[in-house]
Amino acid sequence: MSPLRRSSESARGRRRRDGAARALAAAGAWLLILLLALPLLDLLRRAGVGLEWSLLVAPDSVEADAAGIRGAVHASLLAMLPVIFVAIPLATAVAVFLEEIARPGRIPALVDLSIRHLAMLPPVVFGLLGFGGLVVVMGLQVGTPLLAGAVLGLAMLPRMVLAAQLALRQVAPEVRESGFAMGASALQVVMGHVVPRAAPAMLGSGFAILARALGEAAPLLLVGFVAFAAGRPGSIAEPGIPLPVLVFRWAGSPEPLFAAKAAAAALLLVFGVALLAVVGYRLERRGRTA
Amino acid sequence: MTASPGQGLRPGDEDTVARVRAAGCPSHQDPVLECRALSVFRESDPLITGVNLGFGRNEVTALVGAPGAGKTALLKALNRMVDLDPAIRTVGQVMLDGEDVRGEGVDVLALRARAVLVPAQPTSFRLSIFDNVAYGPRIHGMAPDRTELERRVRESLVAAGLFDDVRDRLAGPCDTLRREQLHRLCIARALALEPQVLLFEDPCRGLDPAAAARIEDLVHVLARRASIILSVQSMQMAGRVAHRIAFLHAGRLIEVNGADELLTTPRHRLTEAYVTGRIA
Repeated sequence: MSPLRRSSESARGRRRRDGAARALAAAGAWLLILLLALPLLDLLRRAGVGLEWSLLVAPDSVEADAAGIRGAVHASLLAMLPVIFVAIPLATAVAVFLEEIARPGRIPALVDLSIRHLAMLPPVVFGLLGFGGLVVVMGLQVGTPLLAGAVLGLAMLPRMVLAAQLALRQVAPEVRESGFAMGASALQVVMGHVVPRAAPAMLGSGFAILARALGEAAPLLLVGFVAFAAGRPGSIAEPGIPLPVLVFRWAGSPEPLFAAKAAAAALLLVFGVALLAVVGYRLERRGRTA
Repeated sequence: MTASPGQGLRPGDEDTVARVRAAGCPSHQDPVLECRALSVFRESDPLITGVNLGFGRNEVTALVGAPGAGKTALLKALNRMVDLDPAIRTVGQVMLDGEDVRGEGVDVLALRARAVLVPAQPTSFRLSIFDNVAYGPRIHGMAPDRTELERRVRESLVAAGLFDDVRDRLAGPCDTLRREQLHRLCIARALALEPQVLLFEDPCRGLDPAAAARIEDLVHVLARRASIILSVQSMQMAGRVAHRIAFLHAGRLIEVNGADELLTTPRHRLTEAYVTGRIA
């Protein structure tokens, strides 16, 4: 047998260990997929009778037969407006300031550290902060998409700042150097070269944050969204319950049809969140290659 | 208003900024740029110490040394690119046409348009080829109308030897440019500012030998339009391109002389060791 074909004991051992590690990794990946798939399959099983057209077109009701999610979907979409138009731009501006404009010092370091810690807090804590700051101090009306959006914006702000900071750090330092070397000012370099290059990653993160905000219920429960609000909110300041809160309320009902409808609504919510995440991913990919 | 060479020194810096006189001829009769006792520190670590060096008008001067010798720090101190790093502190004077670039009231953005750095890593902006080259004149308001802008862009591309390659796709993106073409684009972008001094940071890094030779030829030709200062590691390349060579070692200027003289009869033992390849 040639030396190339002769396998030593140690080589056989290395191959066995490689195979075992590969199998373990594959098993872990499949286990994860199973863990994600099981709740979805369970939801599908429970949804059964709840999955019907009237669920989409009817507003909420105390009668399980007549209850639908139209008003809640509308409220959820309205609640995203403060997140899209206030929280995400504000977070981007904070990230640009911290990464590109602020000179290293105690105050920027303190802001950076605070944002990191705030991002680690569970969203339910922002419900408490929202109740204290937005309801008690600022007097926002309880149960409106405006309050929901403000609380969700508050909860998502630190995460968006971190995501935008990460996107800015991915821009090669040579881009900044090339701009400065041409005599461009700091603002021209940041707005003309750095932010446009970081924009696709920021856009992807923005969609992921939006998806997260769309599916968030815990902070909203703490600012009084459990109360019943039938119908469709005409504006952002009119009462309306976002979809995750409606799912939470229906799921707690003793009526079996409400439980089925809660499962069906949760499935639709998962679909909406996944759709947002996929759109964000595609836009990010397209932006990177443009 | 100008700052004195000692301005900016902190207690203890005097020991670090040793009075070292380089061998050869560090001064120049008609300097376009001149360093006087120039030192650059990162925190308290000196990157270059007490450099006195003049750069001739329409001459190619090469700053040569091993990595960490202080070439880049010296090069970037000349147009205050080092100021972008808050950890870096500069002491001493840099005179551009007799005026201290670190003096009070100096517009650093205008300075960088007169002494333009071409970084080692060629990077195009996410603009068309035309807009890349037109970028400098636009932001500095140097082209009052479209005709003047087009003239500058065309002349810069011709001077950089890129015009024939891109004449049909000036409005197109830069993604399709090869690495050598990207180098030439960055040079054209700098030339569009019609600078007095061009600062090249390792102009041939990452190029194959044939492309590097063409860029070397280009650098030599560009000396007719501007004074050129380049930092390179290779003494051979410096010998091919430069009229004068300044050799740096461990942050100190060791020797300055005409390229031929420095390569054939180095006066300092460290220069000789570097030329013969005994230190790198």
